[in-house]
Amino acid sequence: MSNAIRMNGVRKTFGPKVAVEGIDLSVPEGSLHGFIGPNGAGKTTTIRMIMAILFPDRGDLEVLGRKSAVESKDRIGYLPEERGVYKKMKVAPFLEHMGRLKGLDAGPSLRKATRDWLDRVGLPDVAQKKCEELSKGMQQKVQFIASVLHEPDLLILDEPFSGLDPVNMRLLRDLIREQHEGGRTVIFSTHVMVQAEQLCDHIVMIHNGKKVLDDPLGTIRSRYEPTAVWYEPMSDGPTADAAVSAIEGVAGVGEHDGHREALLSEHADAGVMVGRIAAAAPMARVELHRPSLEDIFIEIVSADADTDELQQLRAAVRGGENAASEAEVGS
Amino acid sequence: MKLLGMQTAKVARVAGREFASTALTKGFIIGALVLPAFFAALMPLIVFLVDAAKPPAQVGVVAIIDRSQEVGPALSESLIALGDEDTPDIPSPDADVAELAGAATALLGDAPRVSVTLEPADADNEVVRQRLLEDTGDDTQRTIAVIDVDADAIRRGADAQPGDAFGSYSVFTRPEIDVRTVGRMRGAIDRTIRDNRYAAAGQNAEELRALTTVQRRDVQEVTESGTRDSNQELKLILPFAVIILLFMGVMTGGQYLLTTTIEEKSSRVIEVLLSATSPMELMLGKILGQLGVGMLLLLMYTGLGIVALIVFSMLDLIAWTTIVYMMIFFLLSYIMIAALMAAVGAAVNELREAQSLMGPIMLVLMLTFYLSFPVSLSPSATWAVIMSMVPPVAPFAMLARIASSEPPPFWQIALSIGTCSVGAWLSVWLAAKVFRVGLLMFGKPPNIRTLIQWVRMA
Repeated sequence: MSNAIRMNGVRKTFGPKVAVEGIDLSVPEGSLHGFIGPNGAGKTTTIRMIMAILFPDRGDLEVLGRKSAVESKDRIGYLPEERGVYKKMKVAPFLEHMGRLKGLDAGPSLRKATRDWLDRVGLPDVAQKKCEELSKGMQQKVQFIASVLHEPDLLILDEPFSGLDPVNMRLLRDLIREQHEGGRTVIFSTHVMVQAEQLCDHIVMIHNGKKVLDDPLGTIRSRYEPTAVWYEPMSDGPTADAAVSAIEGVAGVGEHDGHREALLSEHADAGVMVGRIAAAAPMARVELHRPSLEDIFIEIVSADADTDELQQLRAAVRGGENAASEAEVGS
Repeated sequence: MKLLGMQTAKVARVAGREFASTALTKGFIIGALVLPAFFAALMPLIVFLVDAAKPPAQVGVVAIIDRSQEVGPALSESLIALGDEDTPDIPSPDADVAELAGAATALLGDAPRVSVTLEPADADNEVVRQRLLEDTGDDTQRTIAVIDVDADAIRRGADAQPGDAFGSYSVFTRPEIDVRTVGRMRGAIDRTIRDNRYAAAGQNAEELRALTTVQRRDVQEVTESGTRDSNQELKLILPFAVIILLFMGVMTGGQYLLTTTIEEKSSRVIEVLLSATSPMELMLGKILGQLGVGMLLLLMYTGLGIVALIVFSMLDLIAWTTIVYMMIFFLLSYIMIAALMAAVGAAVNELREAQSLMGPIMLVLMLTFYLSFPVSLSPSATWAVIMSMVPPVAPFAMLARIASSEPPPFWQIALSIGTCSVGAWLSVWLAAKVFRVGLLMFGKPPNIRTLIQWVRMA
């Protein structure tokens, strides 16, 4: 399978700040890649270089088989992180204008495509409204339409869920999946890792301008085996904790995100340990806790960061409690 | 189709939206059509209101201290006679000035109706002037002015040499006396003193006036189709009108370009646009779109001017080549200025921040504008020729020369078009670099130094 995107040793600086440092990347056609990392990691700069909005100081870059996205912009759909519309323009003319800039011909087919998309995202009545009259969420959906109206081969979405309510997050997620299932290459960038975990089949993790992880989600999950079991005793009290901590293969017990957690020893078999913990005391629930992308990210960067920095990073990649809960509701 | 690596269809699309979003708005239509029409309609109203606002007929007493002892009674008669005049006296023997002033007389107020008291020749000026502070309660009895005529106002002193100046007179008034009333009184005094000097010199005043007055007739132009009046004044005005039109077109297009670029950047739609076009395609499209707006205005006002010339049978005053050259130099001047304005628009986040960066551009533009006026008066001077070759002054200066009474030779026009084309290219090249970097820069607005860094960076 050929690559939709190929980057080789790409570097970009802004004055003294190195935004992206020596990134190598291959995105196969038809994949759904997630670019994850905290704010300021270099995701947007990388995307802007892919889009030929910015140009690398060093390194090679190929997009859809061309040396620059400038030569293939009409085959790319892009929803930037910094979203905007022509405020005074009406919705349908705005979308038609964007479609025509992407090489579509003006006429009934473009008007029909615009109408159909507005219907699909639940905005059938806004075609003749000015963009400034729409809510932020509505504007976001209009901008998503602008990125897919021309049926691109490559769709790049930078933080597409920010500012959306859970219902619209689910709608947008379904539309992204649909685009992917339609054979399009999708790159999805987010700082909220749980969103990428739910949607992508391949993860590229970026931190401080460097790529720190680039693997299929399945590979990542198998590489980062579960290291804890969450359990919920039938009754409160120290008895259950004492029983669990006494099990061979349990390195310790504690609490994590409101869950009682048994940390497993290095060589303990996770499947066996679930059974042992369930048998140790009357339990309402016992669950193998797989490390999330957030945990994996923290583990990867923990070598270079102190405790305070790790806490800040954890907060950054969670995107706040609301984002996490929205993601859960939307899933 | 591609041109210089750019997709012309995208450039055209951006230009089309830029033009439509500017020229098809209520604001533009009001600004470009309704406001000028409104002001044109307002002119007669202003004239009417000024006419209606004539000063009140001022009454009162004028005290004359005639130290020459020769002109007092005549002055008295002249001032009293003012009340009977329909039009004020214009103190000029120059027929042309008188003609011009004649048009203004309609705007002047009713004649002052005064009585006169002749004071003794040795009266104390200070004492007489005190009357100007007195309130008699009766307007007809109050002193409104004191005129103090020098002893040598009519005849020179004994020790004076031929050619020495005569004495004059001083006027003292109440503060509330209308300046136009004073002007008319002074006109009468001047004429009376002059006539008395003629008489004292043994000359006939009427005869002298006739001798010194030359009635000017209109200059006649002889053409193949016949003889007709020459419009010297219009010929003088034409280069100015052409320069003002050019300036207006450049400024309007440039300002709109600056505003729309800032709007696109501040509304963050710019990145969406950059995902569909290259920065160069975007900038060129925007420049061309606003070029259309400026061209529309230029054509509209030029068209109106031509219609006016046709109506008054003066179309031959302007050569069609002048209009063609005006369009060419508008194009070049506009590109030079507009490209820089687009760069400024891309560099800042809001209009307020653009002011400091616009300063140097406006300075150049204003300098260019004002320098072209002396060029139109001395179109063949060496400095004028040089100015008409050096951008960014060249388009204005050359156009001023073309529209003047001494048009330059064609090779100079061609050379000027050449240098302006280089200037326009250089301006676009510089602007494109700033535009590309600036569009995605948010936060602290850049200064000139930062812009230079961007040019090096891009």
